[in-house]
Amino acid sequence: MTAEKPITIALVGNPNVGKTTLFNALSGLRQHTANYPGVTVEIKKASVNHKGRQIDLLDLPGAYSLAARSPDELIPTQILLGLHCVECRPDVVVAVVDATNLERNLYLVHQALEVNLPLILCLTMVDMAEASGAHIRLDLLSERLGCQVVAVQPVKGKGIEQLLDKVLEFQEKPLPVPMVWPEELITETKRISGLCKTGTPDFMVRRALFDKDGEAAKDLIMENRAIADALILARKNLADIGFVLPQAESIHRYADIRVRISGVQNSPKGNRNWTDRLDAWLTHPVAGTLFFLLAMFLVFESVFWLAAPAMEWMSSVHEILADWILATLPQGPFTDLLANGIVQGVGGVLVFLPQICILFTMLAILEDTGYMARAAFLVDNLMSRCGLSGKSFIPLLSSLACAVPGILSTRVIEDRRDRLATILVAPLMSCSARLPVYTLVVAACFAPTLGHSPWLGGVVLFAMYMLGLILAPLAALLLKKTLLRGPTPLFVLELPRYQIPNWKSVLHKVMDAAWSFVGRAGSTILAAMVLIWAMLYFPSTDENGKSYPKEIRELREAEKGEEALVLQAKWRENSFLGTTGKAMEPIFRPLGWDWRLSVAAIASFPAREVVVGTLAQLYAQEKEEENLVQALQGTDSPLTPASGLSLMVFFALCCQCVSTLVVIGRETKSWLWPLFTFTYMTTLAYAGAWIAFQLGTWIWG
Amino acid sequence: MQAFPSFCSLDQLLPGETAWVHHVDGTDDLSQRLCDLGLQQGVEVELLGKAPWGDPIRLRVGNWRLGLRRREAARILLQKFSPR
Repeated sequence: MTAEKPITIALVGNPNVGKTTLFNALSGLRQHTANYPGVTVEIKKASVNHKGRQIDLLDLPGAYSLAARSPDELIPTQILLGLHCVECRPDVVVAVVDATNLERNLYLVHQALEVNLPLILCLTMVDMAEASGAHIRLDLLSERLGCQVVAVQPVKGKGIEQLLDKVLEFQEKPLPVPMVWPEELITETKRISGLCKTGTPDFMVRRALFDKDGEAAKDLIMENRAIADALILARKNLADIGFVLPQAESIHRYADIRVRISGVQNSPKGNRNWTDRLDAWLTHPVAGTLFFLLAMFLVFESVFWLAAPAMEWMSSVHEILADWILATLPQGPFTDLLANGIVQGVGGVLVFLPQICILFTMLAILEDTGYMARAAFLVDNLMSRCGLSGKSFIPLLSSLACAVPGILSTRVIEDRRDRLATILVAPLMSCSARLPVYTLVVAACFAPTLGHSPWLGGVVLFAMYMLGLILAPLAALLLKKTLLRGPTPLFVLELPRYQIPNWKSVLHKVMDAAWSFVGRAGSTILAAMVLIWAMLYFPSTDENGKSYPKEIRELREAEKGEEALVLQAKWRENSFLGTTGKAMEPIFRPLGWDWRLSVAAIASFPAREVVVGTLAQLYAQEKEEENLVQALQGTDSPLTPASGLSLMVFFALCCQCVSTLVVIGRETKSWLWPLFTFTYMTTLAYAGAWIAFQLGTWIWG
Repeated sequence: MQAFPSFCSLDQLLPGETAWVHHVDGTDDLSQRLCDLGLQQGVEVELLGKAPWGDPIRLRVGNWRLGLRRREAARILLQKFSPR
């Protein structure tokens, strides 16, 4: 029995209508992101089995119109129009519509009905509409639009079976009731059709006409240059009869929508709901700001109170594992690689998961409740003074966990320059990976045991975080005034209804973010750890040809522990990395670093996560039971507060993360911007570290 | 008491006041975006509140809520009824 081809369905709809909740309800945990032909970004996909047929689901980003404004909005346009790949169009379009906001939601549906694909209208929030008295006559709506209509409640699982049943019946679809466009538009469309290759559908030509500089136009012009002028002429002809594009499309469509939904839905009782009542407080200049500061404070505190202990716990677990491996497995380079390279590497990745998960859980909850839009609303004024808009706030906030998912989330920003500025300054936000450096240095240089005030450590830590948080908007401002000069970006933001966060949706968001960290950054960190291990291990023979590890083992067995440690230090000093570090010491001496700090800093360039592990390997322990903090304090040249400060500032401002640079390259589609980011941040880091060292020397000597 | 039609731009609306869109000035990206979102002639809008420092503003457009900067709101011309 031949397997039938799976049915591909695409979920489209406005943002905030519950599209992803529906997708999660349909797919459970079986979703994954994958490439889709014709689109350059990865799409969330899932496969379900319904009554023996396989159905492939695509969750597309929210859009208000097929006249795409942001990179995210471009995706539904590309997929529905079949740009770059006509055969790859989905079999069925499931248009998710918010029943409490029928008119605006139907705009996208109205456009989608014209692209000659079977369409099922899926209504969400019907219970809310009913509760406010806005009852909808589903049968009448179905008749007027000419498509199937299903009401669903994804959280309760209602209507899902019905929806899937209708998907299976898609081949017996009713035909959409076509809209009557003005005669002149039809004429102009025909004229341009003549210039296109045969088989170009009318809706493609219309979209090319409607969207000046849009994707459809670009596609057609690529086939035939003459179309460019033909489109301009056509638009001028249409403007002459009063059909002024691009507004004319919206005006005509909305007029048609109003005719079709006339009588379909009752008016809701009253204009206020509890979202408005909450907003009166939460966007209030005083109360709202206080609440916002409180929310942000809670988000930050969660990092220190919940994540830091978890990170320490994971850190000790992998140390124990490394020690066990060294003690149990036969001696040799491979065991050493396993313990100090691989376990350190994997541990170095996993240790950040608690912080990333906790931070993203808080952000996902804030977003799901609808509060994030209010946060963007409140900070927009400040952000516009830096040349950005409130929409940059969330990506920058996410970058506090990890810049990789933060940069990915800039896809919702419509303005190209705004998005680029946000991407370029996101790495300045103090990400999770910097925290271990800060805590280590604070413990080693600013501890009360060294004679400092008890609160100094906390102040220094806070200052390091603030450094990034303050410099990022300043850097954005500078960029917007110089390289990325342009008009201030628009701020047009829907404030969705407040709702109780759906735990499944939060879970999915956190898993997505965690996965993008582990999957993308994880492999780099692991590779960097292994590379650093190799560069610290080799050469493993001294000038006489004797093997260091063998000698060290012999010394240890002969109970000459101190001598063994001295030899170990010599081994590290003469390794590839050690020699490089010593050679580069002059470069870093103005920053107050010795060769060991220079080595650790250089080793951290691919991934800053390796710094603590590298320092651990570099600092000779004077006593057997010492930990790294004590080792840093107790060597012949202990880490001074000034040097520690300059090290932290360097790490705060430098882009030591290949994964971030790779993501920047992919999102900006050029290698210029990652190079620029690396250069400006390294320069800033060096300058900042130098200033910090001078300052530190002046304060603490 | 009579109510007289008068015109104002969206940024001149007072909190709690309701008016109806007359048209959106301009043919650029912003006007297109607003049009796509349904801000067209005859649609009811109400100013619900403002952010700290008075910018951006919070509106009810028909049945949904929108945040918009005052500078952009100035492009939307409204018709309202004022008592004499």
